[in-house]
Amino acid sequence: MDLEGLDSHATVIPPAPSVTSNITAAEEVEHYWGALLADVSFTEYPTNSLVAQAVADMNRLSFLNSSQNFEYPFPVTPGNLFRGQFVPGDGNVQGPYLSQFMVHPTFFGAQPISQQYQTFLPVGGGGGDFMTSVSEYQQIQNGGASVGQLAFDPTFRFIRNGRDLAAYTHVDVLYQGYFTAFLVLAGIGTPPNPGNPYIGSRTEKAFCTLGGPDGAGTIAEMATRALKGAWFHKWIKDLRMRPEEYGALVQANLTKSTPAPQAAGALHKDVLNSAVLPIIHQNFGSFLLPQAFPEGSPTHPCYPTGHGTVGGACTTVLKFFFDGSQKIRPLLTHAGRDVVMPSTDGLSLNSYTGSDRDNLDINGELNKLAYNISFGHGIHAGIHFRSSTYWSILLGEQIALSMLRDRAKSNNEPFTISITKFDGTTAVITNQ
Amino acid sequence: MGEKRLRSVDKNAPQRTKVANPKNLPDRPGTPSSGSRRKFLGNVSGVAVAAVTAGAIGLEPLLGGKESVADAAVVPYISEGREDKSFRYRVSTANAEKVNIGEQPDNGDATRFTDFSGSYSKASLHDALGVPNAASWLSLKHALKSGEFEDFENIIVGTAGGELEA
Repeated sequence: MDLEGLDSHATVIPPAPSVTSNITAAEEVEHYWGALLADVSFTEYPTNSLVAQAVADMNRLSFLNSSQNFEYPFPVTPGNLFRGQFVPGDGNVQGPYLSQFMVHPTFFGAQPISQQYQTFLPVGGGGGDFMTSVSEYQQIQNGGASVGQLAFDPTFRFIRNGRDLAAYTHVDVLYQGYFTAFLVLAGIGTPPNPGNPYIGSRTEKAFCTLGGPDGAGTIAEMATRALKGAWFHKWIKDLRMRPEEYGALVQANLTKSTPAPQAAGALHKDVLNSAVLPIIHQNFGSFLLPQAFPEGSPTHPCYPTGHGTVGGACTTVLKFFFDGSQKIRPLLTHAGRDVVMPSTDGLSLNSYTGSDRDNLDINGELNKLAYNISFGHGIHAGIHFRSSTYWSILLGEQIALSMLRDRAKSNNEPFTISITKFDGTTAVITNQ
Repeated sequence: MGEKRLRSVDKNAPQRTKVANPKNLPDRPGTPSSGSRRKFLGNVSGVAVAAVTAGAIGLEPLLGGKESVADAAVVPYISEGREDKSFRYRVSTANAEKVNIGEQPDNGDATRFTDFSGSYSKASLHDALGVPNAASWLSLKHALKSGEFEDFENIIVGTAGGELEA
């Protein structure tokens, strides 16, 4: 329970997709490809042959080809592989893979933040994937200790590939990425939301309400509220299995293990017929889903994701405080920067020269940030299906809006603040 | 008693409040105590405690001794009015969030697959690959339904505490 915002049981997202559905099958196929491509830099996607195979395989999936597809940019291309979508063509598929808020150095007070991170070593370079043997999987599935150990890269890097994103989400403070975004936004002089009543005042300045301290605190405050909402759906409503558990059903189906799990016989053919499975078996000796973390997923259900719900909530807070409609490139250039992307080795930042660089706006890069982080935990680490991310971000938005609206009534200053929601519609927070 | 006195404060209270001289306040251990609010105030010192204690909780008869006059707030305000306004905000917000949307449906997997193989079961005991132990899975569901801490403690897990299996 909580004292602000919607009660967890009053938040609404649809039932999780069934284990038998073609959407879950598509999402598991995506996970397998994500595991195989974990060490391929995002900059190499357009030319990597395995990426081309992934794209071709995913474009054959029945869910992606159906009118029910709400969450995949389609057709899949090397440019939009593993990207999110709320509305076709939205900010998620524009610009570099990584949000500008995950790459630009900034300051936390006087303390510099480089945006270089401790990452895992790649497969073949001292690192590895986990839970790929049945014995290791079963030990962990029964609650036992993990078998393998992480190998850390001694060089800190800008995030350049899926494994780096997974490493980021293994230990991040859940609102960390959004607090860092707050620092970047403030650092490049992003204007406040146009509905902020202090804009243009000669005598007043936003501070403990509607100002910097309010924004910084609210971002952190959102995290626990978001998690409570997510935990209701995880544990009470859905108990959706983890992708690694689905991988065990694939293994049971294809090896005809006994006693056979009932659900293994009901999997959608799209996953069983995927071109990725022979490659997985050839590389790992099983059809289990390779995991980026030795322990695989944490011991709570898949749907929705904690990372995604916090992301949706915190992103909504950032839109409340800042003008999300601003184009980001003019702000960056005014601050002596430009739209950038990490180099292939993650050791430097290069200017992004894509033709859409002038189209990127704050809202789009914030939406991308929520997806980047949640997919780092999901597709790239192997522990959350795509739809768990999609609905978690929308759940977080729902929770944040209810809290902001409750709090608006406590403000003395009259205001009406509008934000653009993930689906492109407008939400209004007002006390007038 | 404190709440009653608080509510009886005159809305037209003067801008200056008579308070006891803090030097004459009794030692903390001897201060009457009847609740957490007074305990909290007991940790406050100086004129503030005298003003707040005497004015808000009504300890004037107990303080005794020579009295002095301290300034009221620079900007006068009506404490009772603020109390009521804050209370109304909290009640109205609570009412606004009093929402019953009914029990939300799941996707049916938990009942479709009677061996529970279509649901999350990590860290439960398993009988085979992908097949949860029924008693273990049901002990989890029971705890989730009851919400009792003890039931969660009694969930049948595969290897409690993450220990390696023997």
